[in-house]
Amino acid sequence: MEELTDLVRAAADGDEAAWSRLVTRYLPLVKSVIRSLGLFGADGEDVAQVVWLRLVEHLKDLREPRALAGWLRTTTRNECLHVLKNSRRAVPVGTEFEPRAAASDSHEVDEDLLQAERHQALLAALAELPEHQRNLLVLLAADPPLPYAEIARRLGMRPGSIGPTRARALSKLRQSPAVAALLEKSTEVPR
Amino acid sequence: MTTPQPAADDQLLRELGAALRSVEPITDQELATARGAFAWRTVDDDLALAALVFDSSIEDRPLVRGEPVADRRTLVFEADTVSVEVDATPDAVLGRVVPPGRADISLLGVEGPVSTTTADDMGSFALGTAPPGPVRFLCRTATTRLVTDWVRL
Repeated sequence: MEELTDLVRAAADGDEAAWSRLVTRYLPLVKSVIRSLGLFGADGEDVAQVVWLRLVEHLKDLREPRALAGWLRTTTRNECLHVLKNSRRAVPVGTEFEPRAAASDSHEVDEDLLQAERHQALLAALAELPEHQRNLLVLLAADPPLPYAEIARRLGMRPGSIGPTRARALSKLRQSPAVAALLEKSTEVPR
Repeated sequence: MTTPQPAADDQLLRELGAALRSVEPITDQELATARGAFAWRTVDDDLALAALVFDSSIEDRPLVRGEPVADRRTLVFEADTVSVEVDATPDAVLGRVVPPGRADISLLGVEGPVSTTTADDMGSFALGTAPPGPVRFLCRTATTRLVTDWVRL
């Protein structure tokens, strides 16, 4: 977390490179929230723009870097709700748009929501990892899988250190409060 | 200390991959927009930030003034000593500064100032229609200067 604390502080103090690195880390989380609420394309990009503009001014209020993920989720969700409310108002009564619900039964919607929640917990935890661990997990999660030799080359690591770093990174991911909570109640992800 | 748990690790990594793929592709445009937001960072230490604390399109509460009205969105921004309340309709942006008093009000977009007006002795002001895209209010009262959170009206 020290690295993340430094990034947030540096960005708040005007370091643009630190801001870029923060954005790279957290963009997947923001986008996941937007998509889980059924917004895509230009609507989604508009929401994201307001979220980033607002975050720039709120960086200095974030005393605890782990609060960033929660702040982003809440702010993004609220902006999506505003857009959805406007689009609902624009359609005739009786054909109201319900995000993701149109073609699915409620069970599928529940499943979708649970999955989105799990994805967002993982993406938030990933964003909080030290950069070398984060970069490694992103490459290791690629589908189709990349050979270790290729991953080692891209990251400038010794192939022999990939296994131990992978284990440490995943262990850290598992310890993140949000992921730990999901693992507690999940049957699909073994502990 | 890390306890090796190969099967669980593989499963966690698969879920992480699914999570990352669910938001792909992250486009250059998305990254550029996010990075570009930094250019609007407020560098003026004397300019207070008035945070968005209420948005009628997200939550309903027994309203500031009367019943909620269709097509009217009420926003409240709060700084330490001053707050700005805004009613946005399709035709106009009406607002008031609290505590009431004269103030210079500007509506700012990402391209620059959109419009400017003066709040009367009661703190009330009116601006024309807001442009599409993010906007914020800049407000100068007798005692303070503040800028609000960005919103889309």
